[in-house]
Amino acid sequence: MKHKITSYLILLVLIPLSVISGMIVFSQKQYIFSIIAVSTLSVIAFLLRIEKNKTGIEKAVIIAVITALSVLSRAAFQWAPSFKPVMALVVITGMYLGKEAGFMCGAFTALLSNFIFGQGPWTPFQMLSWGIIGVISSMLSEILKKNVILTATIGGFLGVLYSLLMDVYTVLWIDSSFVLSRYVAVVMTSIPVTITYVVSNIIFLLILAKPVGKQIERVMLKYNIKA
Amino acid sequence: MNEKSKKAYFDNYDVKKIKSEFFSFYHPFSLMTYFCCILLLIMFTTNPYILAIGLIGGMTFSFMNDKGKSVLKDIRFYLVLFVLVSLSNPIFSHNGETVLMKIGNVNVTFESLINGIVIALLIITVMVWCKNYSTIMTQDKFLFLFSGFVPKIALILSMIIRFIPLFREKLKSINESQKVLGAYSSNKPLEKIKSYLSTFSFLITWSLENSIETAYSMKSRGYGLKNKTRYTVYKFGSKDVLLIVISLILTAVCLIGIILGSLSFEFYPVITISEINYMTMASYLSFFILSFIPFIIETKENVKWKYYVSKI
Repeated sequence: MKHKITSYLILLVLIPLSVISGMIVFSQKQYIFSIIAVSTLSVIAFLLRIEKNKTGIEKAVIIAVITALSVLSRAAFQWAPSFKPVMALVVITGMYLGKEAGFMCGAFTALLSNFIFGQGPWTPFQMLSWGIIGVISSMLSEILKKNVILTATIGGFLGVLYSLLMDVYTVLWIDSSFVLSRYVAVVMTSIPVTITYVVSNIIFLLILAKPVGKQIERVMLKYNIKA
Repeated sequence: MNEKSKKAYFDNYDVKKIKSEFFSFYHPFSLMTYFCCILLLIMFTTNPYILAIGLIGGMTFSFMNDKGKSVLKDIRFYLVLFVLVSLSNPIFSHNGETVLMKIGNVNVTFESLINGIVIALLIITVMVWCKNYSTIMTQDKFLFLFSGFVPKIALILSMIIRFIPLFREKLKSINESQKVLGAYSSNKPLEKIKSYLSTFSFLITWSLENSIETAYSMKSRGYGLKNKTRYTVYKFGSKDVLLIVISLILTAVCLIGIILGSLSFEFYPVITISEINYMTMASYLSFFILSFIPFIIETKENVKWKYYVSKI
């Protein structure tokens, strides 16, 4: 109950309050201030909601395993910039373990792997973006589980979505207000990166979705863990 | 433990070679407050003087942290970034009155060039401070902060942190045994990828199975029970209160300065700086002190340390 109240308090009071105070105090930089404050607070609100729910320890450990694997995979593919199986693993986690697990896997992979790749003001926004990808894929899980090709296609779209979201952040960071011409320019320059995201998502989902999903389902069946 | 690592281990605890990182011994909560304050002020002002002070403060801080090992390498990177960002701004914004030159139909203005320089300065200053943040706020301190208000999630986080090196080790040993069994022997890329995949799949199976054992062991030790205490290494002392209070007061002074407009710096249509009055001076001074707090603490403690050593 306590956590529920706190999370509503954050969503309904603290977020608007931070946006308004950003407008008053940092009038020239209100957009970037709002986006950082809002993403940090919403990640905290999400985590409080998850904390409140009674997650069994077995499921918590499985989430930890998958997240550790995705952090490891991001570090293992350090030689290939932005060609990483992270998003594929987040999608798989969302599909098979539910939306909380998907959110946690995405957000914590961003948080922990940034201890290797470098923390920065983008960390909360990246946590939120990957977390949202996990939540989206858990919402579509019934359809996605049936068809691998569809999973890969959706994964490709999620890659584009992630790239567009991060470009919004980049524009706000450089310009401190949303200039459409700059956004178009940033999107244009990041097309190769976007294509890499899409291709890597499709490849890794085609390869990993079925076997990893099967293993997760097997363990959940064996130890009677509910998604 | 082999000879080399033994030597490294004892070198770390040699009194003469102890790293002088007194600032990192503060309580994680007070460190977090300090970094939040300074990053808040740096990220959201457009005042180049504030940014310059912050950059110098951050550079001194990182210089103290690694004794100038990686700073020089970083500076080269920062310079490239500086040139790229500051020159790219006039391409996108054509505001401003002082036209420097005309390329085709586009006016390149002095104001937008200055704006670009300030943006570059901002990005570099934030990067320097984020690097300092990463060296001081290590994973364990961050985890400690988390465990205060979301203990379950902090437990998951700490499990992840433990699993990463464990899985890396396991991956190595699976790889070796697979090599003995004949994987990776063919030169065809498809076969190689197949070997990688089977190794990865073994790793997943092993880690899932093994972690369930961890879960049962934790359950039998009373995970999630009420009144379960936890061990912490960090003590919240008077010096931490002092750090928090001082950084909050200094930040508040700067924020009041920003609200009153004494730190404002407008680029367009012409560059205008707020006139100097007492509030401006107070804001600059308090920001200066804020960004040099780690330097002040380190110097003070170093002098104290030298003094006590000389007495022995």
